[in-house]
Amino acid sequence: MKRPWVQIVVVILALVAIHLGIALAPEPPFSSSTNMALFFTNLFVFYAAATVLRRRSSRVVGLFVLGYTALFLLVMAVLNKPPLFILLVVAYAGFFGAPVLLGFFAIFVLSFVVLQPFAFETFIPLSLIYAAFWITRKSAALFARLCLCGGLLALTVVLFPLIHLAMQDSLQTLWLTCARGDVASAIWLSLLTSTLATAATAIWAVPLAYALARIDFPGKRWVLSLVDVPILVPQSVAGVALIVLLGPGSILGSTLEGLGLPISGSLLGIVIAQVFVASPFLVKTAMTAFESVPLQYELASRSLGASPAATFAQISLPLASRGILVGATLAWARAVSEFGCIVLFASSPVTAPVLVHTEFLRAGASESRPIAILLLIICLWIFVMLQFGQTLMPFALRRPRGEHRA
Amino acid sequence: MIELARLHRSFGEFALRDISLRIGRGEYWVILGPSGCGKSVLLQTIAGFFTPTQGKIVVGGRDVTLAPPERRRMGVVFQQAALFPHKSVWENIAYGLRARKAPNGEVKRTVDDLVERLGLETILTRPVPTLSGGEAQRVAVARALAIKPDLLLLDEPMSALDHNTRLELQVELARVHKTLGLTTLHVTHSREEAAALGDHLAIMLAGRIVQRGGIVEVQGHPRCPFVARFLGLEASSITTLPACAQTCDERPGECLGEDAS
Repeated sequence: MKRPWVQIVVVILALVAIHLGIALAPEPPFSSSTNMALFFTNLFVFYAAATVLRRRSSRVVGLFVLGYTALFLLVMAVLNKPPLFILLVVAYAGFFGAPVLLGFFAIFVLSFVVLQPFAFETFIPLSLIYAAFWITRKSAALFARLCLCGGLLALTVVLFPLIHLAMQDSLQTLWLTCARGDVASAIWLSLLTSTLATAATAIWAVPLAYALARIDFPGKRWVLSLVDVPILVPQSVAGVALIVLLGPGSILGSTLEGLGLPISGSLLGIVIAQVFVASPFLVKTAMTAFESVPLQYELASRSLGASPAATFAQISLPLASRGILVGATLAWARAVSEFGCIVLFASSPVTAPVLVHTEFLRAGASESRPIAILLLIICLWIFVMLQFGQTLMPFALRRPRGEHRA
Repeated sequence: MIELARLHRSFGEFALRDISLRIGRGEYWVILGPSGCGKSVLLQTIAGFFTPTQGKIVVGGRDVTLAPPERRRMGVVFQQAALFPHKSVWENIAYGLRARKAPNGEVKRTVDDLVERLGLETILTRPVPTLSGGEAQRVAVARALAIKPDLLLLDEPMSALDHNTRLELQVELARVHKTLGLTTLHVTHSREEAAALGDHLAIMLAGRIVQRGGIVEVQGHPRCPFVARFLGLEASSITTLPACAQTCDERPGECLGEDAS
């Protein structure tokens, strides 16, 4: 830029000419005051650009002009909203010097202008993904970062119904729904039975997982497939199977009822159904956890004089506890979300997923929506707490490294 | 005194064959052999991690052939120290005594004594996963010593260490052996380690013991070219055994026949 003053004067004159042309046109697209405001805005944008872009290559200047044109086309030509344009373009000129902020600005425009009905639910995930892309710029290769962000983007699309759902009702509606007796008791029941089911599963699944991780026997592959059967079986099939075995009128069901242990229509029925669907998650995850404990630790413990049971309690179980907790969390989540089997086999007392279903049948989506949102939020919160709770574990459990390579 | 009498154990293709060894009280035996000769498996069989298909292991007159590891009183030190990463250094050393339900006072006395003996005071507060290889191995030795074992089994304890640390640990082991007079069986593929530590030597090849005896005797009179080569001696001066030349490379160890050594 040899003669900056000449260029500046030329641009300002051009701006004046454009806006005068608009004002003097036979049918001016804006009122004169809007035109005036736009003129000063453009003047400001030019000033900001001149400061920010001084000594930048012509490519960057081209980019700036491109961004400006895109904004102009979007807001002025398509939406025809001059005040919004003024606001955005001033912000644009300000952010252009800082690429991070410019990215967030672009996402903001995309979410709040283009995808307006989904403003929050697109802005939050998109800016998180962009932040991830930005944060990893020094620690990972571009390909890995693109894989990460592309994957996250796809995941957002997959989870979008849930994100959208969570934005639907006001906090007030949620609070009122929460105060409804049937909703509160259904949610409590869901949480209680899932916890009971997870505990009941853990009692037998953890020892089984240990055995499967440590013992080789003919037919082990079949046992491993057997463990997975509940994942494979459709929930309705599981429900029917449980009814046939334990339902009212069945031999076992009526015997147990005679003993004062009614299955259908009781807490026990729900827990049984949940144990059925949730157990594979715990067994498989715990098994992987036990497999990751080097056998040498156990051999060392045995040679030091600890019995196999003591070795399990002192060495294998604590070292696998992290994985077991992950498995228990998964099993718990699976138990909470169980619907198909429970609605057939133990539809009363009513658990939260069943309540969402019956409310939907009774009054449609708008009535069941707040309950669904509540359930979603509570479950997500507990799930996240369990996942993050692991970082509170002792050092060695949290970060098995060094010694663990054996 | 520990006696191995004609131990046999097969693992698919591989087999330990006819292992006999007499280890006197306070002796330091080194079992030397190339990778895959079965020396580690032999050590683990003595420790009780495998049971032999034939033969006997007698410790101080008690037959422990079929006893599980926790009833054998053998201290094992692995190649990777295998310290329990979720316990402190102190608790690692105390583990064996606690497992044996020793009274608290005795546990404290023994562990503190070992900490002092092996110079572990400075690393007592460090989390186990942050210990270096040499530090971890010293703790592992202390942990094995804490139960006052009848036999200390060292399974290539220095293979994972760098040269200087290895030398330090050698000095440490020699000192501990001298002061405590522990009967020791040390498995390695390094003849320097064998020469530095052992007073007795057994050479293994393909699941058999090829030669054994006092270290000076074995080094002075290797019984076949393989042993000589493995000890770094001039092989040409050794009298070749009958049938040795054909079998040593292709079917190693078979020259010894069934009535080995």
